[in-house]
Amino acid sequence: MLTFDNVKKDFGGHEVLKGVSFDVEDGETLVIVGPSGTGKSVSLKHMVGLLKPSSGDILFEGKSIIGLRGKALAEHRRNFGMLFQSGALLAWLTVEQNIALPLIEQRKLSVKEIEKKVKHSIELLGLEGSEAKRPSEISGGMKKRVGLARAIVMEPKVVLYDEPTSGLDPVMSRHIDKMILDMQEEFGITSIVVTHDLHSAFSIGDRVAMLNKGKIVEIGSPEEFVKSEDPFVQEFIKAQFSAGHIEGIKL
Amino acid sequence: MKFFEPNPLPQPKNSLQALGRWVLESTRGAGIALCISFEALLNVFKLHRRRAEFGRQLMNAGVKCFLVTSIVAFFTGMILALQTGLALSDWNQEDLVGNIVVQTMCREMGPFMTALILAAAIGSAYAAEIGTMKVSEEISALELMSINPIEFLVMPRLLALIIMCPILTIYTDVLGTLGGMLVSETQLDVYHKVYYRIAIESLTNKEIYVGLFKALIFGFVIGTVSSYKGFSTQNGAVGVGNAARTTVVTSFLYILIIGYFMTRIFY
Repeated sequence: MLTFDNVKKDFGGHEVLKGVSFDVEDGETLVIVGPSGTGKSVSLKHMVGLLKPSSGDILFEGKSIIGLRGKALAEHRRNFGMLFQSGALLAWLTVEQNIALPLIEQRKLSVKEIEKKVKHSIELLGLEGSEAKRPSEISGGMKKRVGLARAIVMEPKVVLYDEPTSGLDPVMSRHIDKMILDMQEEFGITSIVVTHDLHSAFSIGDRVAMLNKGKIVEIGSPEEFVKSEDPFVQEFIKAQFSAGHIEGIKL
Repeated sequence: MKFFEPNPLPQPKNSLQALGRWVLESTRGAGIALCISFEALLNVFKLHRRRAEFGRQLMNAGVKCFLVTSIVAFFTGMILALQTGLALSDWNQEDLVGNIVVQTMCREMGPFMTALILAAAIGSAYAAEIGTMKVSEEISALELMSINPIEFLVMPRLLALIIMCPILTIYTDVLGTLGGMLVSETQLDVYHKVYYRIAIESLTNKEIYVGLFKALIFGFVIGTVSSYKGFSTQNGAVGVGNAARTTVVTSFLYILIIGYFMTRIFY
């Protein structure tokens, strides 16, 4: 469905992506893990044309997205929803208005249809009672849920999650993980998740990829990932799981 | 955002290269700023979609600056009348103070003072608002939803400034003239009817139109600078503070320089 083919990205002499290649299958959840500043979020932004690679190609459903502009780019982006790290909710709009925004701006649906879709998203993510609140009045976890409601309200084929559990307590983090799994079960959505949280990665990922120093150093199922011979992958796993004890993960 | 994908210049190796890099970056910045504003103006026909936001920005620019504009305008007129009146009284020409106050207000001080207030109060707020949205990825979220941030954010703000700056300038002109009248009557012994008659007689359409045209251009400049500074914000809260500060400084400079050249062209 989505292919990264030797993608490189250079910011003013600083090469962030140094030839990243991977495929994402239809309906799967790929989790990209790795240390900070290694290009995980940059990779996500490339998928929706928010950044353009310095070289290499990105294919979506077999077609290159490099050089897409105007309506073609807008059309490509309609296939994607994205949960941003901070939620990226507009401060002056209420929860309900934030969720409805992409539908209103699309100008294809009637007010009643928009209301129905927004209500469904609100129910799905358990946001009842918060419709009239503004982003400044809700918690971090709720902001993520509103962000996710906005991401799925357009019924995208692919949802991108940028650090969905960062800044959340463990209980809320597991709740967000469950929501991501629910989204996949309910809609069969393809998910690409960027995170530091290996617990989350093993819980939700069909495959886990390690991005280190701008390159994919390991990619495979959680079982394969844990058995990786790459020293950095092992170091990363040990740093998060004491004495190699990995509990509550889908292995 | 299409104007802001980093395309950095090479690191300078000596001071000459550093100067060249600064010139190139400044020129590119000015080009990007103008591209943003022209794209915003090209989207004006979509204003009906943004009427709520446009109304909110008109209120922001108009109502929030009303009190400070009133005080600044009134005292500017009073200072002008006092200074020129005292000088004119040496030649027993203090009756002409109305002429000088009204012409100075309409040609220069009205649009100039209004623009400075708008740059400080509204331009800095626009830059901080857009800058905060940039660093918290709200701009990226808009783009992903196929919402043009320039149409969504810049167009209503720029248009509000272009409209509100001349309107506030008219108010500043009137209040400054009244301030001058008060000082003339109480400090210079110029009867208010004499002040009024001389002020009106000296005022031509050209003074009014040039002043309002200046105000319109200043509104465009403040909107352009604040939008550009907002969109180019980086480095979190520090960057937002910098965007607000540099918006005020840059707008002040452009208002002064453009104001001089417009006066030179029209007079």
